[in-house]
Amino acid sequence: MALLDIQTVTKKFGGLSALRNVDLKLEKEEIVGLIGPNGSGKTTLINVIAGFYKPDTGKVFFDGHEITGLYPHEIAYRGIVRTFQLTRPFGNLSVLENVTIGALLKKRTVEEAEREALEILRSIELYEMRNSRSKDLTTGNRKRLELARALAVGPRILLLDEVLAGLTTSEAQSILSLLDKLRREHGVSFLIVEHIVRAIMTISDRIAVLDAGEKIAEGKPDSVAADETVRAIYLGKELV
Amino acid sequence: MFWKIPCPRNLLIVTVLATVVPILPLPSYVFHILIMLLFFSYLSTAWTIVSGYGKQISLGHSSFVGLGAYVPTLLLVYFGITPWFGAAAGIAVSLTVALLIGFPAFKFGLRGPHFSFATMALPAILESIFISARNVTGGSLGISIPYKESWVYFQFASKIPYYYIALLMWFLAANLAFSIERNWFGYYLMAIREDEDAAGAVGINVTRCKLIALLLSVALTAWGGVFYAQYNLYIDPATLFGLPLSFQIATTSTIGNPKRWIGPTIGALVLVPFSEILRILTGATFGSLSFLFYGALLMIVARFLPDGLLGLMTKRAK
Repeated sequence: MALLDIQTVTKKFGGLSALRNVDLKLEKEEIVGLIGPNGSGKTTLINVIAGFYKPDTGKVFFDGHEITGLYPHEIAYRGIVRTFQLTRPFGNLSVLENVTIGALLKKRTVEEAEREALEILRSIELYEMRNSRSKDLTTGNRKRLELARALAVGPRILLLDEVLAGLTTSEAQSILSLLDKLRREHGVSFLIVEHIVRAIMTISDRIAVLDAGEKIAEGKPDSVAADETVRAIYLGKELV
Repeated sequence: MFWKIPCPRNLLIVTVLATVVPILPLPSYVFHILIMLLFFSYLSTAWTIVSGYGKQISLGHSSFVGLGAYVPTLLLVYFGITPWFGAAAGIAVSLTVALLIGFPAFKFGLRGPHFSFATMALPAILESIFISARNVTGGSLGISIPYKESWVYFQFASKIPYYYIALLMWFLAANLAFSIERNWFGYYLMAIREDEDAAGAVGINVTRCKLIALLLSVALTAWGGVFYAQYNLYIDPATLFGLPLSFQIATTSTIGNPKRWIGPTIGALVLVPFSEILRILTGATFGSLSFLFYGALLMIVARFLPDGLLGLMTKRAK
């Protein structure tokens, strides 16, 4: 059984179907890239998995247990942690405090959580900024912080909503290699929503394409890139 | 939820120094001011746990001062029950009321000003109930507590014992606030204060945390009501349930710095002496003048001092 199993999920906002009968599976230690044009339902799917929206129909299973309709904090506790597309740091708190709060879910004393947070900040190259107020960070560092805080929770699945957007190529590269390391060393699985198609193609094991709320293609990066409908959606842009 | 209690050294020093104050030959009026100072510091510290740390701004805390004062008093007057037991009943009633308001408000996501407005309704409702139940409560004229000077009835002839009790209350509340600030619970409340959705996303049970903070704050506040009734020996609905008291508690903490354990005490140090002076100068006729001053001070603090008077002091110290 897949680690994460999304079954025929539909989510409507008024008359608009943001998601229509979407199926998606995520295996342990797998990286799945989720691409699609603006408004295709990528973030909605993340919101459904993480418990921020309740789907109208369909179910989500995690590790064999149904998690549809659970609260976000319950889902995070089970090990599915998300990041936000528009970063949402605890703005008036320091970088270290932000990550410590994430780590407190599994560690009950502030000292332990802080130690864990410092380790994560080192690995994500934010250590130097640990005492800065998080709302003063640059976009690149805010994205790093968003990722660091999610990592501190100790996730088995990370749902990353455009963590690479706004980063320079080398910044994006360092984050991608970090994700790869997390997968190899900690067995974390990833569902990555991204606009930078090139970056996601190289790291993903599998790609799923959403368009107007429907999954129109899924498969290995090469075969998805060669797909006629996918090419049509991206207006013939070179994908790889 | 057990934690080591780390006592800040400054708090300990101030408390120890304060214990020797009664040796000085001071007039009893000075002790009255000191007691009021400790009392308002205590109430605002209790308020800050839910409204400062967690930013769930309650404008209804006078309800719990009122219930804490009235429940034991009525039990004493009608059944002769000592206020020490009555206190437990007063706190229990307050917690029940807080739960009835807090649980639905937090569960169904009354956020920011919506929560504040909901809490504002409570003292208004309770005030009219206690005024109209005239046969039991004495109505708007209030109720006097029969004078039975004894430890058993929480009544003392001199102000000194009240002073020591108020000092102990303040010390314990400040110490509790200090430990929360350094504990996981304080970190969770800070996260909720900054961004509730992001707090949920890292696994924080936002509803439960807010509720625990509210109940903790309410229990302390209700005890404040018990103390007030026994100290004053006379209580009336307008003073205890009225919105002015709610505003005063909130203003005191906000002016000091609602995010730090010592903030409410700093606020009380400024506001309590000032309102006393104002009352001496203008008399009861212009009693509401102090609210004009509170309002002006609130505006200045909101505009120029994001970290309150405490922020101003620590900036100077650097």
